[in-house]
Formats: sequence, structure tokens, C-alpha cells
Amino acid sequence: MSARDHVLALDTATDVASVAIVETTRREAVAELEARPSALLARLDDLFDTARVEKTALGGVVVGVGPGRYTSLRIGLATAKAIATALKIPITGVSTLDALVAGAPGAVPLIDARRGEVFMHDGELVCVAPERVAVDGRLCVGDGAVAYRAELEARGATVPGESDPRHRVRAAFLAQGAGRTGLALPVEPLYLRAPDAERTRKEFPQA
Amino acid sequence: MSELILGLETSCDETAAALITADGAVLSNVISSQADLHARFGGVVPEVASRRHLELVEPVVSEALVEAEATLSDVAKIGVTQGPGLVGALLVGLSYAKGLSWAAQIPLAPVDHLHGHVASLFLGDDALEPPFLCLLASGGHTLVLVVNDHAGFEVVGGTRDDAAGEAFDKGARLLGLGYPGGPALDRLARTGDPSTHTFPIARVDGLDFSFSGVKTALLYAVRELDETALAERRADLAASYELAIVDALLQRIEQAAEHTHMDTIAVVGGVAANSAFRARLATLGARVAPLPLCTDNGAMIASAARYAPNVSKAGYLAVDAYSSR
Repeated sequence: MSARDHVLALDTATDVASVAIVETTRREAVAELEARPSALLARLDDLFDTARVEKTALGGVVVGVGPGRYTSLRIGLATAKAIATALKIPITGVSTLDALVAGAPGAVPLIDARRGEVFMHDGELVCVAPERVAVDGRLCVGDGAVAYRAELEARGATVPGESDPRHRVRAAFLAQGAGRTGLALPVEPLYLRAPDAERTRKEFPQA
Repeated sequence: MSELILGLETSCDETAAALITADGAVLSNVISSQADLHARFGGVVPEVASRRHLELVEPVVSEALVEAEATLSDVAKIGVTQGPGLVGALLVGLSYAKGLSWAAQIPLAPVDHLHGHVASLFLGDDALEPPFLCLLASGGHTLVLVVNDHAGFEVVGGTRDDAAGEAFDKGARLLGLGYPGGPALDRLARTGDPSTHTFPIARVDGLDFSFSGVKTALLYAVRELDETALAERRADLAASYELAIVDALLQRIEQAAEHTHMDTIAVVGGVAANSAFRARLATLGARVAPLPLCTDNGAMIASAARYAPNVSKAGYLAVDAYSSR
């Protein structure tokens, strides 16, 4: 195996973190696994053992920048930044929604934003109530689709069963998506919401 | 020189990294405080802090390496704060440290933040040797500790309610001094007369503290004054309030020394930066952490890592942050 012909891809935007090693010329995942976001690092050696590659084979890191759960996103981004810095290789940010769509072409990817809302791409990245998503006759995927199945199906959407693999964010698709579209994002979380304290301060400035 | 220790601290509102040598000399100690960012909220906002840590962690570590004229290949161990603190904030530093540790194959030492404060005394040419009695007083903690060895401590007293630093911050807020209030109150108190007001400190059993009463007493004193009168007496109130807290801390630490038969007294944490407290501690012959090592910093975490037990790779890569002990 020649050096620098693999990419490490990881995504921690949802409750299940995904990590993969992708061979860059064939754009093929040679190893992939899932873990809790905070347990990801402890599983990396297993991943490299399965892939039968060394760290020195890495030519870059691709990380999902959300939108998603803020705390776990930061775990993934801090981890990815440190690995790229230590190995002196470039790092690229990719939208987690793009990774979902790469695994379910043509579908509407929805990530659960909690508080009765979903993160989605609607011309621009937005955080909206599921009732406001234009879904009639379309396939919806992602943990946001699972969480608001009733609302979406009532409005004509198709939502696959909960265990359908298309709902899961797969890091392998993240790397392939980045390779295909070349859409590199800054390596910062796509927050979409201001911190609560910031919003309270704006709405009640005298408080 | 491949024997350096990198210390990383992100438990609250300071993003900090430092490099020390294997024998405890500080080569760099970079602290990026977010105080300005939190000032407009009147306190630390966890989500705001976590976001800022992620932006700052890489540049701060990189700056610490540059200032120490070192690279990662010179680092033999990485120490990182595991807790207690804000979990979201801790996870940024912990994840970054784990990533560096895994990729650069450097052993990681998860460090207790309070052990870090104590370990600030083990740095430099004039390192303090255990055993000693230690008061840890900061915005989040007020603890009386018996330190018998470098690797840990035994808690013999604590606060029943507010921490001493919290009492300073809340008092400063009542006096309209903004955030962070401790340093502002310190400055104002220097121009005031501490004998003008008497603020009682609650007496509690054992070697514990209670600071909620003194804060309420200040609140009542401030309420009685109109704006003009408050402006006139602000410095006197600050000085009297400060004296009450400093007296309470000194009284307890002396009682604790007697009770535990310890001859050496040391004080660490952000409150140890208070000038009135430092002056009184000097007359008592107590050891006080150097000013740059009082507030949260990376050097103290690296120092604690120096004495932390070795954990296996599988063990340290799996550690999670904790919010309280």
C-alpha cells in the first residue's frame, strides 16, 4: 500500500458516531464502524487493524460538521483537528446532510434538532418545524425523519422503517461525498442556532 | 529534549495550554481567557464557552509549543483536565488531547482539575514538598486539603454553599462592578476603608465554610442606600466585604493547621490572586501560588500529569469527562 492514499472520515453529528477509512483512488471504504461519540477514539486502532493500514497511509481527514448535536459535534471536530495536526495532513469539513443524501440519493435528509424542529437543507441550511418541510411524495431519511415520522407521513412523505440503513449517517459516504462534490466547508460546526443565553439577551435586553 | 509534558485545560472559561519539563520548569503557559465574551451575560454561559474552546484549542496549543520552542515530537506525556467542570467545555479539551495522543502516540494522563491547582505548587525552582495543608479557593471551589504526597490529597473541609470566589463575584455584581467581579472588587477595595461596615460570616461546624450569608448582608447594606450614597460608599463596602471573606478564610485555615498538626500552609486558586488576601498570607508565612498560576492554566495540569498514575492506552482513550467529584 503506497503512502497517503487513504482518508480518515468521521461524523459525530448524531447520537451514533461513524468512522471510516476510505481508499482514495477507488473511493472505497476499507473499514467502517459505529460507536458512541465519546468512545470513538478508543475504537480507532480496531478500525486501522481491520483496514490493515497504518496511520502513515492517511492523506487527509474528512469530518462531518453537522448540523447536529452540538456537544458531540465538538467531540468529533476537536478529535479530527488534533489528528490532522499531529499527522500534518489536511482536514476538510463536509455537511452531515450531504453524507445522508449520498447514502439515499434523491431523498430529503432531516437531522433531529430537538425542541420540535429538524435541521435541513432548503435552499440554505435551516432549522424548522417538520410541518414546514415540503415533503409530499418524497422519501425522507435521517434521525429527524424517524423522530417526526407521524408529522411527515401525514403530509405525504415516505419514511423507511427505523432500522433502515438509510437513516444512519455513514462516514464512508462523507468521504465519498467530499470527493464527488468537492464542497469543502470550514472545519467549524454548523450551529444554525445561537446559544440560548444569546437569544434571551436579544429578546429581553433589559433582563 | 523529548521529555516535555503538555498540559491542556478547558474546564471553564479559560482555554489554556502549557509545556513543562520533566523536572517541573515552566517553558510556556498560554491562557486565552473568555472573560470578555461572558461579561455581557454576567457569568459563564456553558454553550458559549464550549464554542469558544473549540475555536481556541488548536491555536492555544500551537502557541504553547512555539513559545517553548518545541514540537509534538518533544512531548513525552499529555496531561488534560478530565473534571470537575462544565462537561461540554471539558469534552473539547479532552477530545483534542485524545486525538493528539492517538495520532502522535504520546501517553495521555487524565487530570483532576483540583489536583491541578494543588500541583501548581510543584512547579519551578522553589517547588513545595508535601506534606502541607492547602486551601484551594476559586470561583467554583473552596476546599481545605491535606496534601501528603504529590499524587493526591485528602479533603478535610469545604463550603456548604457558595465558593469564596463566587462570593467575591456576586458581591462585585451587587456593587455594580460587572463580571468577572473578583479582580474589580480587589481594585476598588484598595481605595476603601474596611472598618466602616461589619459583615458577619456564618459559623459552621468542623472545617467547613459558608459564604451565602455574607452576600445577603451586603445585599441588605446596598439596598439601604440611594444611588448617590452608594457611589460614595462603594469602595468602603468593597473593602469591608473583602475583609470579612479574607478573615473567614484565614481563620479556618489556621484552625485547620492546628487540627491537622500541619506546619506548612499553602493557598492556591483564583482567590489567591486577591491582593489583600496575599498580603495577609505573607504575614502568616503561608506559601501562595505565583500569580500566573492562581487562575486556571495549563502548567498546573501538566504538573499534575507529572505525578498522575500511568493508565493504559485503552484506558485513557476511553475516558469521559466528569462534572463533579
